[in-house]
Amino acid sequence: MTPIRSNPRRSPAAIACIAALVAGALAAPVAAQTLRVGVATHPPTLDPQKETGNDAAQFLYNIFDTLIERVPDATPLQFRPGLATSWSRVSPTVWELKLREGVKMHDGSTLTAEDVQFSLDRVFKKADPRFASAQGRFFYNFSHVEVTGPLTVRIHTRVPEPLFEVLISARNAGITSRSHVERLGLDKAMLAPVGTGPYKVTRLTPNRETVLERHDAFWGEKAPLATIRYQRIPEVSARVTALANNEVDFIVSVPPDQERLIPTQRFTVKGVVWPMFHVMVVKMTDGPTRDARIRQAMSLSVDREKLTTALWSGKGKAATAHQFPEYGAPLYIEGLRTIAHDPKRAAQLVKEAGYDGTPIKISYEPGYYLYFDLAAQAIQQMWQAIGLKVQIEQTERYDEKQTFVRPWSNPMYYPDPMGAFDTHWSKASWTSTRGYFKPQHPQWDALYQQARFSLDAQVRKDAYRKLIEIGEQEGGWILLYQPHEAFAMRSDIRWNIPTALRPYSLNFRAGQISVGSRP
Amino acid sequence: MSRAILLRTLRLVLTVLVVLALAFVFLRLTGTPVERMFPEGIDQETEQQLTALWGLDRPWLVQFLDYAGKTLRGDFGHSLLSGQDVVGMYREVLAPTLWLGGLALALSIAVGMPVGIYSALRRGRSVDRVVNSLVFLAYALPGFVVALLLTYVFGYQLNWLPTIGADTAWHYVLPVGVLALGTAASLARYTRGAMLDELGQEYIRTALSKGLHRTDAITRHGLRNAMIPVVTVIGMELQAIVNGSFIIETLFAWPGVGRIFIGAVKDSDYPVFQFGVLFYAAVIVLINYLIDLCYLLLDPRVRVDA
Repeated sequence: MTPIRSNPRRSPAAIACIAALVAGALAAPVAAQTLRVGVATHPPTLDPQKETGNDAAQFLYNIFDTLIERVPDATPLQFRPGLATSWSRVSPTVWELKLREGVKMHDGSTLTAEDVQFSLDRVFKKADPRFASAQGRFFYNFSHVEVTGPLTVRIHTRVPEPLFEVLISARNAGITSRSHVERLGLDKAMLAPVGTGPYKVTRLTPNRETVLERHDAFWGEKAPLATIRYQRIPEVSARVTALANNEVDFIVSVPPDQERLIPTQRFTVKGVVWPMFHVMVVKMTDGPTRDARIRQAMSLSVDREKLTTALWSGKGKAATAHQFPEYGAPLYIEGLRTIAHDPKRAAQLVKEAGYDGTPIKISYEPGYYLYFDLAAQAIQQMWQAIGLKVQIEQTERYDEKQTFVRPWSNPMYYPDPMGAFDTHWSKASWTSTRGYFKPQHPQWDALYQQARFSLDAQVRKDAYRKLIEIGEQEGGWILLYQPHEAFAMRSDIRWNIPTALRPYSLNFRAGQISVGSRP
Repeated sequence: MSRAILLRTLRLVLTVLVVLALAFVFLRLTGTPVERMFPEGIDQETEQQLTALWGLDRPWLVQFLDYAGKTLRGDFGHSLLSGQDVVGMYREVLAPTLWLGGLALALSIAVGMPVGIYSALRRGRSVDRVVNSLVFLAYALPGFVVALLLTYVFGYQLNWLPTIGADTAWHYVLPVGVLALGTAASLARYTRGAMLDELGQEYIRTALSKGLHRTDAITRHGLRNAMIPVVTVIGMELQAIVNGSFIIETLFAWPGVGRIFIGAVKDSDYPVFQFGVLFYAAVIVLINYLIDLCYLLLDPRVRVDA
């Protein structure tokens, strides 16, 4: 590096020039910035239809556009044009969308209706088994895309879809380039993703590092950052150190017990209670938990407030019902409480059930869910206090026949009751197919259909309320708490957690992040 | 001697093959890539499609023979999760891995052996006791504790040294230092012991009594003989460096072979794991092979036996 030498003959003009340059640099638009992000996890590819995990959510929003976009922080959801400039339902199961003209993709091609058809059909029709996750979670009711003009498409669903805009604005409906994928083949294209978003991928090292650069031909407002470098730093202490040591500007996934290590003079910490429950799945069809009264007792005896205070430093949120305020009106049910803490009633239920003393085993994979090892020990005590025998087992692989209680999480994939419910407790979910979850209530299926597919929001809301009330009585799940995590960043970065997007999304588009002078 | 080299080479190849076969079976016993890719479960039809896509629906023996055949042709396959060419994945991070291990070894030899010799030559004096205590401390401290400590001091508190990645020469300081510390301590202990053994031998007294300078007697006679056990220890310590690099790479977010390997185990990414096993087995076996060859050079008795 060439050292900067001071000029002994400082003329007023030179000083003025330097002052102007310095002032200019300070006031420079953030366009010249590079953001270095330390992430805990990194996906193997960045294919919008394949990657459905939290790891990919940190990237996809910046690279891929969807036909319809969500206003990132609006509650309830608000939609705005994305790659489609307008859309309307033309028949109960058909939506017509007009596409934006002249959209340049990252490979230099111009977006066509065929690109839209190719991108969506491959997940609607599960063209590759690796798209099964997105198809099963979001698009199982979508049939196909019909091209009706150079810039017009029609999307067909199997039955009328009340969540059309919600689902088609999910990043797994991101649009990619047909010619690019066909030219490279799917395997190679997944490692060299092409979208239409404000940033393009210039380097992707699976599971390790990704570099995005501004896509200058982006159709909307230009990206505020010139470069984003995501680096995977798996250890939380290493992420915190890298931030404190000025090696990265922004880190994710800081648990409550590590937050105090962030030097707050130089950095901002933004905490979030995720719209996600840590859950215990209880087997309903076999073993000591087969009796609904035992399952109800297990849930009633868990002191969720105590767990939340002790484990999450009071920053998490004890579960009260299977819903999140992020749904907004009209679907969020204010004041609803379906979960209670009543150890006396729990002990009574255990007696009524004639519990024979068969041990109930809590099986879990160490380290997979933060603090679950501690939660399991506390819950073991709570259950033993009502007369149950409880064992704890650590495992790397669940033996389905011998597993009766295991941890899980229920994230809200999209801000709607179905975003955390249909994606976890439907008949297609592993909880149903592997014999854990089998509600017996005669109204269950009818209510489920209404909550999922009714086009009347009030009918959906009422059905959902009944569904989660019945669900608590069925006892197939024990909702524990919503975890708390923090993001930490340089104090001159202004960024907000996008509540309308999928949890863990990092939104670095125009108007969503700014880097500059300190506040 | 050439027969000895040939036998050792054959043993090397056989060892690698046995390790590969065992690894092939054991990883399959611990889970499938489908389970890892979809921890929340997937429908049976998709599972069948994926296992067919990856050729995992065939009997294990058929899979192994197919893999062995392709391996012999230099085709190590592609990652099941990312689709990357397996050899390319490892090749990309080979340089930082070798630099990390090589520098750690060089540093530990450069520090550990002189400290051991120095300590032996001053046996029983206070300086020997101090050095011994420090060496023992360095030997006893687990690598990850040292890593966390140094990262905290030089990264978090002082902001002097980078703590993640391998972008510049400065990035090597902490991981190389941590990896070298335990190895240097181990080498110092063994060198001291070996030197003390040799210094008590009659041939040293003979060399001194025939008028040889003490330095010459130590370096030309004592040190050379002391090197034979020390070379064995260097081989073992090199293996420790390879193993230690797994943890160090994770703690320092180092772009290395170890992280790819551990990721492959976690994800049950069979082709990536299998190549990693081959790679590590080859490295370990090669180290032992080189040590054997060093014996042949250092110790005439081994040559005679061979």
